Amino acid sequence: MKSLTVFEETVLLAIYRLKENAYSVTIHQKIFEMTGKDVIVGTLFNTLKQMDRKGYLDKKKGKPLHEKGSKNVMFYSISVEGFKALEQTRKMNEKIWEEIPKVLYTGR
Amino acid sequence: MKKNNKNNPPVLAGRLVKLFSQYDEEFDLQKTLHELYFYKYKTDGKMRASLWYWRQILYSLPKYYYSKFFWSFIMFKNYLKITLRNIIKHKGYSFINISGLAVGLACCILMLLWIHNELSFDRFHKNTDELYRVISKVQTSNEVTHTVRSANASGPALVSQYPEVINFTRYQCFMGQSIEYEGESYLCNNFGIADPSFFRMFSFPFIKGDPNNALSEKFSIVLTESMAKKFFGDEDPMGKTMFIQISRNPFTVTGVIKDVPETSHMYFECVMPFIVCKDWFHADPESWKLTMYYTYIQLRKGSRPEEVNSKISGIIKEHDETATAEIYLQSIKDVHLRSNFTGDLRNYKKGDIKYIYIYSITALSILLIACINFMNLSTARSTRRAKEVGLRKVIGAYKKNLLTQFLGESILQSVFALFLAVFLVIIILPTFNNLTNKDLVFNFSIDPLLIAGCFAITIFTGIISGIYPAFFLSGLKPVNILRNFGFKGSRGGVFFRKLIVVFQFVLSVILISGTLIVFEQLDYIKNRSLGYDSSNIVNVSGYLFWRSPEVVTNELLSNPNIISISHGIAPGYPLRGYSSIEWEGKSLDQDITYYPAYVDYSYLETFDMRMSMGRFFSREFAADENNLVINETAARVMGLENPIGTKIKYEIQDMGTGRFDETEKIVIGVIKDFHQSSLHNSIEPMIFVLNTQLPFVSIKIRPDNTSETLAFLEDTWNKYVDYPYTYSFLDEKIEKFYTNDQKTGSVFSYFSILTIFISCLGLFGLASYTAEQRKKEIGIRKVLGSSITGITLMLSKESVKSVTLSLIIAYPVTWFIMSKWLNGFAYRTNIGIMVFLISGFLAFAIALLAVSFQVIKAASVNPVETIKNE
Repeated sequence: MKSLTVFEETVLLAIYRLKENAYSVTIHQKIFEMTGKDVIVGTLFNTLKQMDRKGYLDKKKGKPLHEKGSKNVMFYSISVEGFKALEQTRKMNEKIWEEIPKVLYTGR
Repeated sequence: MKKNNKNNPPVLAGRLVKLFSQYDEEFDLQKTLHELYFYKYKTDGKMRASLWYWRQILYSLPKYYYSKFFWSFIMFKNYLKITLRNIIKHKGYSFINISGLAVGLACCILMLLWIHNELSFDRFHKNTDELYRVISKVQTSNEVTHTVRSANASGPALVSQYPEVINFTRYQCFMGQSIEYEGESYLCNNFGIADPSFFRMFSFPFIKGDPNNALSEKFSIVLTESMAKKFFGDEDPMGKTMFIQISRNPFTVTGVIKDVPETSHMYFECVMPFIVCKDWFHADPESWKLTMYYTYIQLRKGSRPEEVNSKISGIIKEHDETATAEIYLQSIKDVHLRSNFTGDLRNYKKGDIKYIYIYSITALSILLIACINFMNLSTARSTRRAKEVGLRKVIGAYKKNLLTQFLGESILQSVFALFLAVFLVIIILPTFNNLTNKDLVFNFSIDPLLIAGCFAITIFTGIISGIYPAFFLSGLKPVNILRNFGFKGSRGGVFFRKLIVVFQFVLSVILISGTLIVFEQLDYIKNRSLGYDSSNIVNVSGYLFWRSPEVVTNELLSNPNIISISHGIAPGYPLRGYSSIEWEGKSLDQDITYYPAYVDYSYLETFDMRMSMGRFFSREFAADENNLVINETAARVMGLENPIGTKIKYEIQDMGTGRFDETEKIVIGVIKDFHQSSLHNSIEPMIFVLNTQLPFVSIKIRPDNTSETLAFLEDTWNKYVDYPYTYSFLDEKIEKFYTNDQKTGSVFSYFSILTIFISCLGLFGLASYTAEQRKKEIGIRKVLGSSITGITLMLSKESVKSVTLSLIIAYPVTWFIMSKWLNGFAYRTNIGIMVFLISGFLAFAIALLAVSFQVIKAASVNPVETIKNE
């Protein structure tokens, strides 16, 4: 059973949300949007590399839409394996959180 | 995308990014950061964007360096393992390499210790930077004399007239006084005289008493620790009274100081205030003519000596119109190494800055040779590492990695060599101390600078010896290596190696010839006729008091073993030069420096000298008190062809009163030139005056029964004279003139031996390697019928060529250097052919020996072994 780390999960979900427009810059911005974390670019790269090695990503070269005449950039999308892993992670998460009351702690 | 200057991320940060990220097309850090920065810049402004940029980079740094170090460490372990394996696998070569380096390092370490010691003289005073010695410069037509002594009144005058001079002290060190306490007496040969400010200027730590006023009372004496122990044991000496032989008043002990350290140019066992000299030696502190003492002054912090010099130089002329001396200052720090003056202290070990240069250059050249050997051997044996290099490169090592590996190897070997070197130094140190007359200690805790210096040299050596082999090895092409395309040693390497061998031999030949020449010169000096006979002459000194010289002399002469006695100056003892002299026929600008000597009637006889014209003093002529004798040099310098009968007027200082008297005497004879001082100096013009009252005596004795005669001398002496008897032999004293040169000779010879040893090591290693390379060739030649001798000769041909070339280079260089050294002697031998022949022969012999040994070994191998793998 393959499980993803939290950060891997976040990255994959960001890629998912970005649909066709997922490359390093947009992924970074999306993660910030999603979690508020200003992730260090280096760790993002490492995670992408790692997941690519594990086979969770499909890569495609392309040109970013909003810039004119720029060099090629690698676009990422989630592969079949990636989706499988995501599902398993979600299932595991649900199982872990099963029957835990909705609010554990009130206050600041 | 246009690069708009305002939009760009901070330049410095941008550079850092380039530094630690390797370009990756898919994960382009720089581009991503740039783009994100762009957006940030638009939304949050330049400040926030720049901060964000910096944050991104700084947070990446630790991870980057961690991974770098992690992998570097892994590689380091690998390199270490390989290095150690290599060293153990080739024990012979490793030993040659390491011991060669060790010898070089040991030389350098010894040199470091020695130089450190020499440079540290007189630095232990708190005021070292502001303390100066006053030197007098007198110019006459035949020479310029620099004397360390200065007029008595100069010190106080300097302080009062110039605001930059804040303190002064006079100093002198006398010998031959006995000090007594409660019946125990000690003949002190180092008692110091100084003004009360002495201990305020110089820092001699006080064990008891107050440095500020230890000498303020007239009859006070300050003892060194050893002297205090001698008389008082563990008792407190303060306040006790002691008796000095020369003084009627007793002295009170007002202080005890630690023994004078070895690194001080002043050495004394006790100190008394200058003021007492007024009574004893009629030393007038206000006199501008009396110059028996040394003056030291202390300048205000921040004053520059050159400025002060220009102000004070004329001070003597200001106060004494007839004087011709100018004064200038010498820093205390320069005293030990840069003093080449007349009238200097007799009891300190003088050093010379020349020797520092000579010895350090020699030590460095030995180290250099060792490094070169190392380089040579490493490159020669490159075939062995070639496969490893090829493999590493194929796997992915960059040239930089290989460089690091091989450089690290040589540094490691250098460190091993350091350990061996330290061991060697500790063993050799006692001998070295003997040779250099010092007391050096190799102690880590004493000086952190020493450890730092050792490591610096080691790393430096490692780098120098390793850099060429490292570049060479890392430049090998894997293609050639792994496919075994006739890869044999290297082409360019061979030439370089030959060059190195030649260089080594040049150095060795220079050192060998140099040593031979030094010894020749020493021999020459020993055998050169000094113009007098110094053998079997006993000198007894009783400087100031001797009650009845005539009676004592007669009694001594009654002993058949005593041939003759002469009172007065003896050759080999330094004379002081004076310049006020007039003679008939002297022209106005003819100023000479002359050296007067007090002698008696038996002078000629005792020293076996000859006259060249006229006659010597004789009892038959009562008027001889008004006559004088000059030597040939004096006659020549004064331009007198027939000096007999010439009147000479001169000024001379009365030894007893210190007053200067002008007298006129007539020349009655010219004595044949002889060497009053060492052969380093040319013969000075001397005038001889009769004075039978001087207590310094030279006694010529028969060579047999010396011990009897000496005993008789001592008994007679003690019968008539009150205080301790000391004697010395004149020829021993004269030999001491040349101790420095003898030391140079010894040092040279040791260095030669070391250089030869290292060169042999290098040659040996190289030859063995070459022989092994040509194993197959030798095998084939054997099979084809060549004899072992034939093969040896053929293989040695190369060495012969190298040696010849090195001889051609070495001879002129040696000649040049040694001529310079010999010019330091007024009387020198010529550099003969024999020296060059011998050194050349030795060079060839060594080369052939080293090569043939290896070749014979290789040639004796059964050809079957070498060729069977073809």
